[in-house]
Amino acid sequence: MKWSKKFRNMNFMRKLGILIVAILFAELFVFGKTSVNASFPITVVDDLGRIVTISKAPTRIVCIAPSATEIVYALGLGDKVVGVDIYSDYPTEVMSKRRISNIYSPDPEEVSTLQPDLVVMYSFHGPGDPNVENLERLGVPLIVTYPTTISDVFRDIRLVGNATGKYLEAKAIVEVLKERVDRVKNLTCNAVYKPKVYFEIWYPLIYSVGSGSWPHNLIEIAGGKNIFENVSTSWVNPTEEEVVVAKPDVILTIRGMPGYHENLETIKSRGTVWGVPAIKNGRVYALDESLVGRPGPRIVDGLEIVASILRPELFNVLTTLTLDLNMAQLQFSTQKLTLQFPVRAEIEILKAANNGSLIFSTLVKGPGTPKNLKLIGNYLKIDCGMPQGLMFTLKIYYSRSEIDALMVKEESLKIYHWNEEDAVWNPLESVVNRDKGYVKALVDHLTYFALMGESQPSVWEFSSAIVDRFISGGNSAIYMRCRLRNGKETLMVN
Amino acid sequence: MEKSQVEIAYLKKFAKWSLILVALSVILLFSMGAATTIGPMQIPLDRALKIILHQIPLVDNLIPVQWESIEEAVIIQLRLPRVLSAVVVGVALSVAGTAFQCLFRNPMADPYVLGVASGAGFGAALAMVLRLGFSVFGAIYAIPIMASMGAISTVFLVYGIARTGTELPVLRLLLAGIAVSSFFSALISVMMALAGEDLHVVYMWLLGGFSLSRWEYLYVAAPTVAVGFIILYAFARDFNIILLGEEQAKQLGVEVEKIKKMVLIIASVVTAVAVSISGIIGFVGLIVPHIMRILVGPDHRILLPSSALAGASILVLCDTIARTVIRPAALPTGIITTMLGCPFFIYLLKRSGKIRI
Amino acid sequence: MVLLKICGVDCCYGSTKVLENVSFSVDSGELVGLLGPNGSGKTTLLRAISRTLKPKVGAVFLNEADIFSMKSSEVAKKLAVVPQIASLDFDFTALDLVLMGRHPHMGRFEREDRADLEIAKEAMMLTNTWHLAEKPINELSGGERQLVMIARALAQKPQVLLLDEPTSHLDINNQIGIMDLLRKICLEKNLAALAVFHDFNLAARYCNSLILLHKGKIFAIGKVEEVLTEENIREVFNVEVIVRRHPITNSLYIVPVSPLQAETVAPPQNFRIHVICGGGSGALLVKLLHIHGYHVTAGVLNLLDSDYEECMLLKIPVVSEAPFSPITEENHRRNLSMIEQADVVILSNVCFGNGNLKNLEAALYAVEKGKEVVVVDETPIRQRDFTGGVAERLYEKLKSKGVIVVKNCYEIPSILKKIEN
Repeated sequence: MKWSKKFRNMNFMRKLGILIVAILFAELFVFGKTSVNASFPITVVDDLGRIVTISKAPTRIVCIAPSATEIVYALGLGDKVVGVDIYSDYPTEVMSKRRISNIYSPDPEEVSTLQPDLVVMYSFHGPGDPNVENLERLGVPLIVTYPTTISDVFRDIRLVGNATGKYLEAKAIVEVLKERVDRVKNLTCNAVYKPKVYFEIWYPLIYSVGSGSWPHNLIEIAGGKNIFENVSTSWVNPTEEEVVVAKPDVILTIRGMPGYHENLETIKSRGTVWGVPAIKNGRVYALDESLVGRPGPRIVDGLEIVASILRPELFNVLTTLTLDLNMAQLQFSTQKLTLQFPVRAEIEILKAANNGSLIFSTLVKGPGTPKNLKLIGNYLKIDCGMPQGLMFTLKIYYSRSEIDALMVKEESLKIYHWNEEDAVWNPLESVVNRDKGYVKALVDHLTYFALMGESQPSVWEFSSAIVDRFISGGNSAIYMRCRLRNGKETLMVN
Repeated sequence: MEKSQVEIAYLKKFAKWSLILVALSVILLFSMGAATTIGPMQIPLDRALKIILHQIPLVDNLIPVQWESIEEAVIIQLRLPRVLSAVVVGVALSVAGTAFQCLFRNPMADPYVLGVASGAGFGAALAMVLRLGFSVFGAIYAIPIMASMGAISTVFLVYGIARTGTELPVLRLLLAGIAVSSFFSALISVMMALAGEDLHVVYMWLLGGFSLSRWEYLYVAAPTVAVGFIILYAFARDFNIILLGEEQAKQLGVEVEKIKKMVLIIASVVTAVAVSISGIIGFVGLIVPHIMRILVGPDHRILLPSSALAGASILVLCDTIARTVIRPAALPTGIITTMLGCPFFIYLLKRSGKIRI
Repeated sequence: MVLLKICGVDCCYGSTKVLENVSFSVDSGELVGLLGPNGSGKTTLLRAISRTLKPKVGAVFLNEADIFSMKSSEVAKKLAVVPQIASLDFDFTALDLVLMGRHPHMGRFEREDRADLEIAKEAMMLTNTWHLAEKPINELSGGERQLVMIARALAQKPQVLLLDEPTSHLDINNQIGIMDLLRKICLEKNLAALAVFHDFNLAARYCNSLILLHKGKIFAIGKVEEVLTEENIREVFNVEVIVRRHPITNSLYIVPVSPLQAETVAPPQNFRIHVICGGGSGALLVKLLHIHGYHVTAGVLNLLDSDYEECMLLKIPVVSEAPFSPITEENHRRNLSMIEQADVVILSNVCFGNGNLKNLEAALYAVEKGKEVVVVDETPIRQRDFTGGVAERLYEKLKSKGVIVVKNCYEIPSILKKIEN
């Protein structure tokens, strides 16, 4: 009684104000629940054109493909996942989940024991896949993905997001990924020169990819030219001669397929007929199957890596090396990867959780150095498909002349790693070995690395340092050319 | 003494045979030359020939190198082993088919009638699914070695089942062959069901092709097939007589039991070797002997070498078609032999009126 | 000289003994016939001799050498087998086939040379098949094929020839032709030949001696007439036959008596039958009646007539006449009295001359006496009439008097049964 009286007695404007606020509140309340279950039941159309209706928010999701698993986890539904296939291994949380034993023809009974209310699978067959019809008998909503390009992967992320009520998350993920893809595209699409790429999945019975597959799409976007782009199927069995005649500039192989271990040495040993440009120039790279073989969010990581391999000059990459992680060897000893040029550096792998491949690149450009630190040499970037559990020591070598030219204090040399979230370079616990001329640090995560040191104040301020090395006859003195703050250039003796 | 026309014609028969063999050899050489020239890399025939001749140690100095090393590599490392493998397998299957058709006195016999193909297929499938790579050799040798072992074990199995005392009854051989063949085929199916992602590789191998040809395989296969052929050819006249029936052959002094055992072993070994390097190529072993019988007659002294040469040419031709028809992909050669062999045989059948032995 | 000797051979298939203690020998130039019912072991014996089947006991000697101590190719140089005709479905020419006979003489890497061709040609000329030399074997007739097989056997230049039913599937002129050839070859080339026969007459005509096999054992061995007796044939083949010597060829010939297997002579009936016959026309008839148990009498028969001999064998009361003499009145009357004692009179397919015309009158007498008369009218009377028409007239008269006419002897038992009832 009291309240209504008070209300009637209020000013009109006040009433209006309260009404507006109340309406806003109500909307907030309603929309706030959207991300939970407000818009169910949802109907989506999956990649095979099937209309799937999900009646309520899924709480027990089964993923029958690594790509499906990664998409579902990326959408934040990891806690709802009750079962995955035997090949799913990312992120690490999936290792504890129950497994479906057959990814090629999943057994409906096995799936049913997990009592799912949503199943996400990948179809190897395409339209008319009998495995799909088989699983439909469960009566559980079944979403089938069948992507052939990276855009299809985005579509799949949105599809699963929509189906599970996570369409905002899906939208956000796709936006970020799309931006990265566009960044690559912008750099590569105008290039006149496209290196010819041979993507090898199996040998000696040669399996490669045709234009109906996402590795092909990945290569194209990354600025390469798949030598079998004229084949419209998703895979192709060419004769060796076809590959050799096409003279590929780059050979990409896959790590993670059991029984397949081809690399530069093994391909060289296939005979002189394989003296294609890729072999002559040493451009044979092993890619982790999880980065290029899974049409999920991480395929964009794969895209970036492949782009930097194919068109290093566009991505400021100077060199790229790959190393096959060998768990068996790591039980007893370590694996080493040495880079000689343009930076002398060495990685010693101490521990790894999976076989896979490590990609080690040097870049000209990288995240900018802080004001008080000087970069010695180039930026290093280390990537790996399965980074978890990886531990290695990184040694970056330097020369006295270099640091002197840059006026860097030797004691201040540290290996810094780039902290993506905070966008700063953080130093690692580093040890300087003056005699041997290197700085060592223990690393357990992958990002950009750089050897930097504090510069000492000096008479001459250097806006940039250019080091030329001269050796004059008999007397191996080293001169440096420096630009003084006043803009003049001079020579200095070391 | 006056020579009648008949006698003249008969004595000329041997000369006629030599002529036939020369003609078939020419056809084979021509096919091999053509096959060596055909491929995605354009290399003209004369250059290809020079490259090949250059490999022969004594002649090489006479031929100046006027080609790029990649061309030489393609010819010597890719095309030549492939063509030669087709020749070896063609000879092996045709000769084994002829021998089995005589041994069983049955026009439907082919080299795989005793289960050799199924045994080899099982061995190969096992190697591929288990990803066997022997430490010294590596996976590319595991497949032929396992295939050969599978094939030889079926031979022993069939021989052991069919043998009664000192004799080897032909009917029992056939039945044992059917049983063993079915058994190993079932095992192959099991392998394929368990294969998972390897299914496709196993399947492609079974269809038969020469994509995996290499010189190392030829070093073993070629001498085996050559020796097998020579031994069988030495008994060609006995084969003629065995066609009359085992009893009549024995009465004409032919050591039928000994020859049966010999044919069984040699033809099976030759087939095993062929299958282990090329997979299961059908039709050649069944059809080529029939075609040649219609063309040159039933006398095995001409039939065996003719079948060998014709089978080799046909397989080289089919392999060339297989790798050019849907470039850049390569079809399994076994598909081509079946698709071409069948209609051609039906045509010959209609023309000649009947299949005879 | 003895080329082939079989000593105490036992052969078994599994545990079944198929041949037991078979011993005999064959000389050069001799053609020995091997006879026996199905399952008696003839084919097995051939297989044992041709080194296809090893005897459990005993040995086979070829020219004093044990065949199983020799290689099969050695044996094939001396012993050739002509198989029963088999279906040959291939394109080899006749000459190719004959040349296969040279295989035992050829080394592994040898080819047929001029000499081999000459031998083949000679063999084919001998068998009159040289003109078929280039024809494919499956275009030849059965007879031609068999001759080619013989040519092949001859091309082996054997000393011993084995033949498995060489004439079974052939027509008569081929049969005669091949047997003539075989005998000639045996003599000319001094071969020892052993041939399996199903046809007694052929064997009797061409073979020097015969072997009769029964249930795996030799039942009889020796000269043709010693082996081919009615008792032997009855014992071994379980069939009644008549064995006669052919007047023209002078060879033995055998005629089966009844289409049914007669096991024993039927129990005696009270029916008496008088048979008027002669010249061989009544032998079968008489025998048939005897088997069926009838009491038979016959007349008038000349001594030395074959029907007379048959009756003697069967102990049948006969009115006999001197050889080559016309029937006397006295004998005629005796005939008539025999007729009076009979129930039925049967007139066989006998030829009539002036000498035995009285027999026809006796038949007429039988009709007039009211006896049941059966006339065997196999060949027309006109062909049997050597009396210039007299017999024919009498015959027609006989027929018009209501006699039963049959076409052959085998109908008679059923007629008699009808008459009895």
